[in-house]
Amino acid sequence: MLKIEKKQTFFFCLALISILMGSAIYILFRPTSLLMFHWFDAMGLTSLIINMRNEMNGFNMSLPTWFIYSLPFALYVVAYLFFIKGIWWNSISLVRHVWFWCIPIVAIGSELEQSFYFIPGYFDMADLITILLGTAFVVLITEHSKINKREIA
Amino acid sequence: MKNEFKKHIASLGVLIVFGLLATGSIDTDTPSGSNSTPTRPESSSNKESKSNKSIEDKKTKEAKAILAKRREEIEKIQAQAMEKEMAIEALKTEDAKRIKNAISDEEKRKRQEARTIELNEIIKNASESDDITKRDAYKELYEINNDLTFYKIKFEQYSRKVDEKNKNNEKPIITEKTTNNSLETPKSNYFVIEQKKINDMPNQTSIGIEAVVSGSITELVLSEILDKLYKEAKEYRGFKFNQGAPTHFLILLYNADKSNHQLKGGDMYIARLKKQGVKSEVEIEISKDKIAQLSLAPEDKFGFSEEKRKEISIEIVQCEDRAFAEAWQMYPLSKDGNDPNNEAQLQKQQEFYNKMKIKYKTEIWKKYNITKEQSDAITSEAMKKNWPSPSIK
Repeated sequence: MLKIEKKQTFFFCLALISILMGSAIYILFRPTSLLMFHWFDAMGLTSLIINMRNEMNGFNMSLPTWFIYSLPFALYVVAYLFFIKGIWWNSISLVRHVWFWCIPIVAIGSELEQSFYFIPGYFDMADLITILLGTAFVVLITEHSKINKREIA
Repeated sequence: MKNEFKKHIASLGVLIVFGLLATGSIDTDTPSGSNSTPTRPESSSNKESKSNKSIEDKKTKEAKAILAKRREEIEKIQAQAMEKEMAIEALKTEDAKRIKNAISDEEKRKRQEARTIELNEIIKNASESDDITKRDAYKELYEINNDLTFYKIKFEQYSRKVDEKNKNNEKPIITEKTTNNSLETPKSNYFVIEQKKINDMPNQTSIGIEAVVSGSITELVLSEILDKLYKEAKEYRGFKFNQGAPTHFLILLYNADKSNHQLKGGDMYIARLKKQGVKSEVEIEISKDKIAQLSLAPEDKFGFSEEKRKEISIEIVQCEDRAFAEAWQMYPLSKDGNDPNNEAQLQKQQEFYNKMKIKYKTEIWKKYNITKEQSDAITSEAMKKNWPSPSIK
């Protein structure tokens, strides 16, 4: 059984918070044409979601566009990175870098490809920035934790 | 090593979860739904502009919808108005037919009898030298009763007499009746163009007279003519009901157009006498405006004389009639009034009519080198002055 350290728990918690936040934004403020709403419908959660969205009705008008349309996915990326950091905490294997960077690279790469019309979709600078900032945020947090760890050691 | 494998498995699990979340965030409405980036596939600036555009589009759509609805309503109203007009026209035609049919042979015979009596009275009262009156009376009598050779003989006899008098340089025959209201004013002529019994029913025997007046037309002259015609009409007998005398009178006087003597119809009369019932009073209506228009000297406008402007106005009306006839031909209506296709047909008809009307009018404008405003001015002048309209085919 793997022994989970405090830092790992902290990362997992951050990852969960990120997932919850991202999902909340998707569920409450994004149009119901998203695929996830079809799944919720299949699960019989439509009425619950509609009630929740009704509660938030009008609130989304005061939120910036990037918050609704760019932040959620960046939060998913952040969650992924925190999970990977948490899983590969204290590991010296180089593969951990592959796991860590594969998603940010794919996400940023696809955004850039969209800007050059290599793949379908609209390039969104806000998406790119939020993903970059999210990744940078995770790197900063994890590196800061490592420095603290070294200092303590 | 075992730990690392577990980490790989956990990482894979996380990746799968991430993949699921990312897939769930794909927008099924966007054409690029398969986009590898499951966020909204638009840039912020694009989002804003697209959002604004979508608002604009929505507004445009709404405005278009309202416009279309209004247009639909207008067209519906136009179609209804057209339908009503057509219904009125149809009623008028039917009414005219009904009136014609109502004059049965029996009624004709009675009228002939009455007229025969009247003409015999005229002959009786005519002076011995008044051969013209006698000749005309016998001519009419012969026409009414063509089976009686007596009238034919008499007519031929008086015709010869008149001819002999003419040969002896007598004054020319004046068939038109004349009226002279004062020594200073010139004479005015009038002739009865239609004199018909409109209705003969137990509670109403109406008579209608239409006459054309020429020469100097004044209020006094018109009232005198109306009075004279009314007195004559009062004397008519031979009706079945109401002791054979008319109870209702309608006398209309029109102005004779000097250029073509074309008769105007409808409300184009310059004077009207109306009496509805034995106990009711005689109502006389004389159009001062129309009399004033008649007295105005013709003037040149837009480089055209009044006569030319009349021609142009007729051509304009003719082109409207032509467009209307063609529209009817192109989009005929079903005789079934409840046919749902009729509404659409009417709309098409209206559109086609407008199109063709403009086309034909443009030809006239080009022909006479006039502008639309000048053409409109000529049309309104024609209406104001009651210029003759082309005869309806």
